[in-house]
Amino acid sequence: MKILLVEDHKLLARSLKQALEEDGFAVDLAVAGDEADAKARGAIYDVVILDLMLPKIDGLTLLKGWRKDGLTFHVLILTAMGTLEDKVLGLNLGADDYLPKPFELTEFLARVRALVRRGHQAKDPILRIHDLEIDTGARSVRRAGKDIYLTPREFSLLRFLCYHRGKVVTRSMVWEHLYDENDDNTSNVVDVYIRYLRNKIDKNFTPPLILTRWGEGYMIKGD
Amino acid sequence: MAYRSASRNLEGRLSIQKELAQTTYKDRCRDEENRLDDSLLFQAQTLARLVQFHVDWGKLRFLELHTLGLLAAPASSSAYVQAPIWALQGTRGFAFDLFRRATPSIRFDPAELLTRLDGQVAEFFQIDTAWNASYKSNSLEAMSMAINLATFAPDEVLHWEYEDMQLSESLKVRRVVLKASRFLLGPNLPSLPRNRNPGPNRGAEPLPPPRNNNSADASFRPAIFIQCAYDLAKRDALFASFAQQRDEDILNFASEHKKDLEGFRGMLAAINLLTFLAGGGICFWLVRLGLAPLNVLTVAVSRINEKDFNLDITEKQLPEELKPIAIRLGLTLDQLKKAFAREKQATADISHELRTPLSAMLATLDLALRKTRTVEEYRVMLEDCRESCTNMHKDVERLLTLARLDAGADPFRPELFDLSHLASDCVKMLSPLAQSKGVELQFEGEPNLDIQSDPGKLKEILVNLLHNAVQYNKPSGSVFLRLSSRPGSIIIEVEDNGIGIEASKKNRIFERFFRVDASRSHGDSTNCGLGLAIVKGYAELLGAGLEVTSELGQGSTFKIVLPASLNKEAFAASAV
Repeated sequence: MKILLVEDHKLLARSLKQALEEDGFAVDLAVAGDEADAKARGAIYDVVILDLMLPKIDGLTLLKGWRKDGLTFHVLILTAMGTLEDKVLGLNLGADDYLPKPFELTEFLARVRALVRRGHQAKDPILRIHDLEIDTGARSVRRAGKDIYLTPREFSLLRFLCYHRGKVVTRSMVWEHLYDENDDNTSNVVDVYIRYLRNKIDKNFTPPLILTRWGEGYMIKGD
Repeated sequence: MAYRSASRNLEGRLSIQKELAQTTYKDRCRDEENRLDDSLLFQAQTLARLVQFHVDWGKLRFLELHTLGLLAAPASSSAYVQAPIWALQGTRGFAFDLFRRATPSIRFDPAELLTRLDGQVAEFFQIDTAWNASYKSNSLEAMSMAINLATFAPDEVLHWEYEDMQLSESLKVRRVVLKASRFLLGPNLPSLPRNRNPGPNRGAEPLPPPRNNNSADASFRPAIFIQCAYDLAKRDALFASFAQQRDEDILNFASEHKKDLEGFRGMLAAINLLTFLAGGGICFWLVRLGLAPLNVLTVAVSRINEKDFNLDITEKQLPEELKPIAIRLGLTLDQLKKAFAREKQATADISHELRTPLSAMLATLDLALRKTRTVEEYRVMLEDCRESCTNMHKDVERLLTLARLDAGADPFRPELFDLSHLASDCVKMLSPLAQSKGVELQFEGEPNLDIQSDPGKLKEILVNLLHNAVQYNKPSGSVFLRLSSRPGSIIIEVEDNGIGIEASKKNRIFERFFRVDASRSHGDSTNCGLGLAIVKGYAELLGAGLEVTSELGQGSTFKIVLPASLNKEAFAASAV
């Protein structure tokens, strides 16, 4: 789950980035309009969090350009301009959600998660596969009624696999979605995390849920 | 007034009509009287023609015995008049004498009398002769009409008199007394001229001379007196009917007059009402017509709201008088629109400037509290929050400074101080920032430049200008602060060779929240675009001139010109 955070206020950007990362999202940061445009067009993002008053190019202009060029990622507008007209204008220009400043961090994260679910046509915040339950809101995992503790990276990998259940997920896809621009790991880090995940989810349970498709990637069972 | 004059006219008409009625009445009465008189006379003449004398020769003989004929008097009902007749008529001559002695009696052919006198006026007639023969109509019964012979001259052949007389106690009549000679009577009687105005002495008319005008004829004139009379009551009844007619006429006139007057009054009232209504209608129409452009203006003005300040009106819709108002209103609305836009922008700017650091703090604090963290993590987050707070504080102070300037609550507090000292203080203050940016900061100026001004505000101006000059500079750029004294003024210049300002944006740099590049990407989030607005406000307060020259990519120079009247000498002079 990769998110582009477009915010020119340093402290706010830093705090939000950290909060999202702690929630298992990979976050790229852009502090100016032109930078944001380049990044949005150059990588795959699940959600773009967009401030409107930006240096160089303002947020609404960016949004219009993206929607015009067929970019479909979800956009959450985050701005100090919170009048009704501003909200309506933002939503009408193609935003998916609108959050005026100042806001509660929990609300912000909930809205981001909701946008992620929407991107995967999932209404239920709890992903269920066989006897495995993943609560995306509480960020908790249980299998056969037993709580399993996962690190943020492990959690986001499992969540990613679950959102793509029954489909093969390549290593590069995983890398694309789970690691931000500052991670310089190679794609074999994915294999490492898959191993960690298998140890926690499949080791003491049957049947194994995470399958390996040789030469392609990994897949989690469809049912 | 029209009513009064018209009613006066009508009154006049009425009185004329009344007079006319009266005159008509009088004329009718007179005509009637004349007609009656003529009729009486005509009747008398007719009688005169018809009269027949019957001679009773035996009687003549008898009369001869009574020479004076006085004896016949008792036999005749009119004997008492006959004697004077004789005496006064005093007719002489033999023929007369004979005739007199023959004493012819008077007779009428009853048939002829009936046909000739049918429908005539006179009810009564009486014929007397000089020879005592007399004849009375039956209607007279026992009454008789006396003749005053004095009114008839003895030698008059034809004469008549009209007069009213009391025939009996209850009967008053008008009669004509016609004296005619026997020989003038009969078929040859000359036609009588009408005696219109019978008066006591005017009955005599010139008569054609008798045909046989000899002395014998002249001396023998056997006169007969024919009297015809009618009952005055009948005439009076007629007159009364005339009077009644007259009164009716007058009454009609009066009622007509009243009706006319009422009609006129009604008409006047109707005209008044119509005039009033028409006047009212015209006034209403005129007022509406006159106010129509105001209505247009009102509608246009009422359409104005805080979202649309356009005065939706074309000059063609307005008369000349209203055009200046509309134009002035349009200008005012434009200014208001701009003011509203500024206000809205300022509100948005302020909210953005405050909300963004506020939400950063909130997010950081939420993040800190989300889970247990290391001491180092907490320390970093708290430091971030503190920085954010400090920046917000600066922004709030700047906003308050501007608000105080707007409200005029920030007074000019002059005092005498050394400007050089103040300037070098400012330079020292900004040296750390300049060093961190790699910018050279230099101060050039005469020492001990005393001036009377507000040092607090002047310091704020200098710090802001120097801060900008350092902030928006290129690495290894330089900033100069120069002080120079000239007759009449002291000049402070802040020059940098930094990034410069676009010509198109030069006029806007003193606007609130205006940023040349709308960016905080220069790494300093403390600048929210209020510094130069404060510089401008303070410069105005100090009475100082503020100029800026700039070239993009070459650098900018801000020049403050302080008035010399506030320098040391002036202050000393004012102190003395």
